[in-house]
Amino acid sequence: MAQVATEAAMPVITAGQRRWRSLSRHPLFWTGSTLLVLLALFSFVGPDIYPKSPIATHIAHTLAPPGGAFPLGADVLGRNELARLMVGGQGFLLVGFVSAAMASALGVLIGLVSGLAGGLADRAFMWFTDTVLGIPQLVPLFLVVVLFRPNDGTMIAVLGLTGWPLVARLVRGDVLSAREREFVESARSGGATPGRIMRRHLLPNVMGTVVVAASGQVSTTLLVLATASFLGYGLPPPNPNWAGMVASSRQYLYDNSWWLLWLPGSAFVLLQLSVNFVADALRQAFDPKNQRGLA
Amino acid sequence: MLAYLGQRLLQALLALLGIAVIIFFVLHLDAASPARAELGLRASQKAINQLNAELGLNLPLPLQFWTWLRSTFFAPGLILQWLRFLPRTLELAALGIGLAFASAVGLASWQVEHPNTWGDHLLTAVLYVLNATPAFWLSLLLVWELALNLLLLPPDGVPSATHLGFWEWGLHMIMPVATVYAAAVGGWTRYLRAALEESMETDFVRTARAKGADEHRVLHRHALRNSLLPLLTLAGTSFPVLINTVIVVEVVFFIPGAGALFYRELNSLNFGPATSLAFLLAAVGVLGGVLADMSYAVVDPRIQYR
Repeated sequence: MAQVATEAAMPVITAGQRRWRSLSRHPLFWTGSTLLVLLALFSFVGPDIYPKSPIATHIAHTLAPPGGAFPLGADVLGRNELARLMVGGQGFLLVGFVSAAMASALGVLIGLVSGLAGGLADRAFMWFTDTVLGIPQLVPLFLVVVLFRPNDGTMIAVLGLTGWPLVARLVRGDVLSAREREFVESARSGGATPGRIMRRHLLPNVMGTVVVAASGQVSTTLLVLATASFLGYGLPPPNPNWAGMVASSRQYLYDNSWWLLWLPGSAFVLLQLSVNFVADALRQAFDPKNQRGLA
Repeated sequence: MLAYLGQRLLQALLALLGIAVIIFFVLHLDAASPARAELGLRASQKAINQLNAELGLNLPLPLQFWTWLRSTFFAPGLILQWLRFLPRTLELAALGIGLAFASAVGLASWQVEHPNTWGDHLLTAVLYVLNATPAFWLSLLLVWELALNLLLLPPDGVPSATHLGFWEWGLHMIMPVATVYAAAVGGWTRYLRAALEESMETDFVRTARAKGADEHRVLHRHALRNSLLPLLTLAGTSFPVLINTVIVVEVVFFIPGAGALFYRELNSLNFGPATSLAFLLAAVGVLGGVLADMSYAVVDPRIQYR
């Protein structure tokens, strides 16, 4: 990008500046990222400000409605719902984002290599990609959780190792069109190694696709993690998580304990909304074709 | 067309073989445990070796894979069992996904014809929220409100053994189908809307306008057909993701389909049936993708499969 600027011999703004400008003017971006920061503060700083145990039981206060010593009510064991809500977001923010980052990195690598290699290697990579894409992510997650003792690490590993195909396909498509262009041709004729072409020439050009695909991957990963946790094969106990809290509220639907059903579910919807807001703003900032729409 | 179908099916078959290998591999990570589970932690190495030999766990891996494949997928009676619960899964998935696709087309067209009206904004907001709402929560909200509070609908899906009339079947299907529908419709509508707006700016749409076609015709005859292609691609790739949703919906509504049974077998550690069901679910996802690809030919007259 630096070369482009000197060639033009004018103080043009770079693509990066243009993107940031578009992003910083986007209301969805600010709404989403503010919401995300608030949720992170609620989950990680909240327990320090409101130091009540999320797992201590108070049988005298079984299914206590919101108010008094239990601002957001209590569950069937009399556990403090507010304290549980705070801790219940940590797993999603940690495991969800880290495994989405891992899946995206893997997807970028496989997409780059596959697109750059072309030919038989490309076909083999894409066969593998389609294979992994065909597996509903819950299935390997369930199998691994049943076979091994689950912890945050295994969750991240499984979600990271199974979540990359969509990113890989998008990046590969971009590489296929980019590698036919003149700047890659000129780098190749100048004797650049494939590794250098990949790092210096292709990666910066597919960066937009990468950012968009990675931000989309976050909400997909969060949904799979939450669904697995709801079914009891996700984030491990004893720490509560929002999806697990929704699952246990199911047994008390008849008791009209609405807070047990509504609060953790809404918290997860807020998280997904904020992630989707940021992802959509990024998509519009990085993709000139999508300037309008979506908002 | 036929040749392309054959090629695409072969591709799907290869993908399914890959899936079988992966499932086998995951199970095999734990290959030492059958003997340990059977003989306890203090068992001597000799006893373990003997049991492994009896179970065939010391054979070469490819041979073990073949044995596993044969016993998991081609065992007599298994096909019949598949045929018994697969229809539940398919009717749920097909109804939910089909309705979502159809209404994504309708809603996105409406939005493009009425841009920046309050209805447009309201719809966008609703779709955003639907898109962020996980199926497991939405299904419980529906049960809580419609079945328990208002007593409008039965709280479960279609029960297995009983034969219901169409009306009753429909009542039982409303909430499960609505949940699958909601999981797909938000993202698809927003995607199609963006694609439609892009199509409305293209040269062929300008040509259509120039020859005097009215806006309605331009949108439905020209722009929509062009924009359906990326939507079909998206729908094809989101099939496996939607299978996740189908699994959770079947569990919540007690529908005896492949997803709920997979969950049940896994809970009781019956790995044999669990893996064959896992494979079945993956197969539904993969074949859904093939179907999406095939419908390309219907939508896009430029594509001729040879």
